[in-house]
Amino acid sequence: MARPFDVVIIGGGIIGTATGYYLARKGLKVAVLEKGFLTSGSTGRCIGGIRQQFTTRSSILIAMESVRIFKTLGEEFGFDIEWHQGGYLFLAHSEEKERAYKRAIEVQRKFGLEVNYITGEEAREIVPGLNTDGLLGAAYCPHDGQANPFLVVDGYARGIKQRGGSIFTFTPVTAIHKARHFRIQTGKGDFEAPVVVNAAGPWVAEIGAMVGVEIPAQPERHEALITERRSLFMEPMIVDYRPDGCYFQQLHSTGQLIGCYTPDPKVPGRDVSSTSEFLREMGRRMVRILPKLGEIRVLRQWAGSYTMSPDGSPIVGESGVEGFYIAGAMSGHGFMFGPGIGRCLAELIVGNESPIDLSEFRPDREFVRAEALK
Amino acid sequence: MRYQLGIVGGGPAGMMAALIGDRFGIKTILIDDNPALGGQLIKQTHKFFGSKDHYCGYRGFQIGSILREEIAKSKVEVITSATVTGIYPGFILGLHHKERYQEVGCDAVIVATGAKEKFLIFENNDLPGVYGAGAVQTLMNVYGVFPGRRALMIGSGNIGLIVTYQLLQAGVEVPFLVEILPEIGGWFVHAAKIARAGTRILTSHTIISALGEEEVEGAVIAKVDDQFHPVSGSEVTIDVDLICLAVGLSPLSDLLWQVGCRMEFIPELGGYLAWHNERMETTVPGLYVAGDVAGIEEATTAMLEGKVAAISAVSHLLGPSDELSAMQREIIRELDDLRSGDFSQVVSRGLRRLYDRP
Ligand SMILES: Cc1cc2nc3c(=O)[nH]c(=O)nc-3n(C[C@H](O)[C@H](O)[C@H](O)COP(=O)(O)OP(=O)(O)OC[C@H]3O[C@@H](n4cnc5c(N)ncnc54)[C@H](O)[C@@H]3O)c2cc1C
Ligand SMILES: Cc1cc2nc3c(=O)[nH]c(=O)nc-3n(C[C@H](O)[C@H](O)[C@H](O)COP(=O)(O)OP(=O)(O)OC[C@H]3O[C@@H](n4cnc5c(N)ncnc54)[C@H](O)[C@@H]3O)c2cc1C
Repeated sequence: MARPFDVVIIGGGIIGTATGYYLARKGLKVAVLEKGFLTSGSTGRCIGGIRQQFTTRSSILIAMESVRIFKTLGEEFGFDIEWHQGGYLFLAHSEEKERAYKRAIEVQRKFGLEVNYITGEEAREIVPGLNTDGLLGAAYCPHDGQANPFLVVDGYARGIKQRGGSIFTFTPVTAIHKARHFRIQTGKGDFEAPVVVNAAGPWVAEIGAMVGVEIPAQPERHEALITERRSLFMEPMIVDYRPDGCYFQQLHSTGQLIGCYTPDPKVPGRDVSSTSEFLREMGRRMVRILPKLGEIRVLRQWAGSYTMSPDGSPIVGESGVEGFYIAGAMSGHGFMFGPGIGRCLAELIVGNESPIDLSEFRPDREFVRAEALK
Repeated sequence: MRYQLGIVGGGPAGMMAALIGDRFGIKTILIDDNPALGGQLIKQTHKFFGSKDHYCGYRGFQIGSILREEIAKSKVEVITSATVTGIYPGFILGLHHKERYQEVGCDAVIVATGAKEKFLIFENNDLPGVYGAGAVQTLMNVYGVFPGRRALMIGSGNIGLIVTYQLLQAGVEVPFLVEILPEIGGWFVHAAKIARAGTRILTSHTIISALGEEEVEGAVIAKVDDQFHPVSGSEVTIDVDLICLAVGLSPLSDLLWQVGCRMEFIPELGGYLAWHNERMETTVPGLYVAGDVAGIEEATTAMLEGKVAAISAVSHLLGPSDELSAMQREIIRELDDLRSGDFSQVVSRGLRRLYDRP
């Protein structure tokens, strides 16, 4: 006997739980199937940054929608999700970057985002101790921020349960059969639903293949680290896009610094083991930007996956198989896009128009217009 | 910096392994996070039990000194005050040393990190004044610092009994030792010694809570029934400023999890440990374990396991030989002998369970 639901969601990360929450709020009976524990995929490995500075329409709008949601999410859940609006600071060390940021700002402003190009000196006022050697300026949006991915997923998951939905952890999906409804086979029995949402993160392509849907998503390893605590001294996430740059921020909740970088060359695959090289390099790169970090100790390092689409934007919407929705290939932005995507996808699934135009994320697009601020 | 053999942990197991590596001309580095080599031995002021061949009659710290001197005479390179924080692909050891991150590359690795103390759950167990027995030993025997004036000891295994005696020797009062089981766990000689000195050993008793605001000012203990549940009405408040937990050790196996060894849960050996065979080989080729991290036992077995692991590493590095395997078989036989006594029954059962898992 298959257990019947209105919607079965595969994946217990930010995307799966957010989508489940907004569907449950509409009165649908949802099941989230997760092969490990909640957040065991990419979500529990991300560094919690939330920005709106993108270059393509759907990304900017979905990020702005997410920020609107993050602002009141704690109240909605009844507990603090450690949302803090400290901003994002993109450092420009070359004229090319400077031009690119200025172009991006023009686009972003059209959508009502308050963002500015500031000088290196102004950047140093925002981040005391910032190394301004070779720094030409920076793109700065004070309305970007951070939140705790574990707490956000926990809040969504509780919300699902409170509204009659169910969460099945340690329940791996092994096969999907489409008849009148989908029949989803798992290690813990069968489920049945007219609608399936594939939010399987790094495994999104594998789940797609179960119903014959090809999804051009490629996981890549990204490593991260976190330091011991310090009293609060910096507000924004610092983004250094140089080939040997990195991104890091201070967690407002604990004072710890958390950060990562995009490796060159890329490391394709789902391997999430840590390397010594990252530890050494990340330390060097952070200290180059903020020399006073030299005396802070690293507490932990880990790795996770960025699941990339060919153009660096997510793949969201109904696939060629009716009732089979995809919400994957978040390309490194799944946490910050999660609330917005969850809310919009829920509308699409119940047959409404999405409040945000998601056409740039359509699964059947050509993948030609690349997001410049990956 | 590249070495043929990297050894993590400079207790009896690691030191012995290093000496064997050196004896076969292997370029060996021995890394320990304490200021001096010796591991647990440096704080053990009592005379060791065990056979004559294995330093019986010496005090623990003396055995540590003997091994330390031999290492000083050898070509083994030693780094102390260095914590290995990760073992990365290609056997790169990451170390935290002198407030810097450093890397040491090796062709083979022996993990001999010893054990960590288990803790107990009770009300206020985070108050200053609640210590593990190892910490109490370190404070008293290494640094000459009184951990308190009046102590409650919890646990009657050999460690609880020995550390009680050491507390008494240092002039700390130990009015009570509680043990949740109906019988004393450690050796009768040790128990008799502390009983003569005035410590009341209460079996079928446990701690309920620590008392105090800023630090330990007392403790509540109670009788337990045959299901180990506290018997209500039997609570007694005692006046102590030190609560010392000696409730067992578990292998310090974090690095082995991280490096990807297959881990097994064997309660008889202290909990999770890397699967290994009699030759101390783990599921990661070129990586070996020895000592308490391979199952909680004692310094004598730790030293022999260190030898066995080092011989496996030498065969891996130089190729196997009849000489090496004969030598290894001989030491494995010695280990079997040592473990044949009554007191080793639990360990032997645990090891059989481990070896039986393919
Ligand atoms: C180091 C690092 C830093 C990052 N920093 C940020 C950041 O600052 N901001 C940001 O927005 N994003 C960041 N990201 C990206 C972000 O983590 C991801 O985009 C996001 O977590 C994706 O969420 P998800 O729900 O799609 O996937 P996941 O969290 O991976 O969830 C998918 C879930 O599906 C489950 N699953 C897979 N297959 C099956 C199956 N067969 N059956 C059942 N369940 C299955 C998995 O176990 C997993 O839990 C970072 C990523 C990394 C690695
Ligand atoms: C109170 C007490 C009494 C005992 N009495 C006896 C006795 O009479 N006879 C007997 O045979 N045995 C006795 N033992 C047991 C014996 O001390 C241990 O079994 C033995 O010390 C284990 O040796 P080892 O080398 O495995 O570990 P240890 O002696 O614990 O040495 C491990 C070393 O590795 C270091 N280390 C750990 N992790 C890292 C890392 N990541 N990087 C660098 N260094 C690291 C540790 O700090 C430590 O110095 C007693 C133990 C105690 C606590």
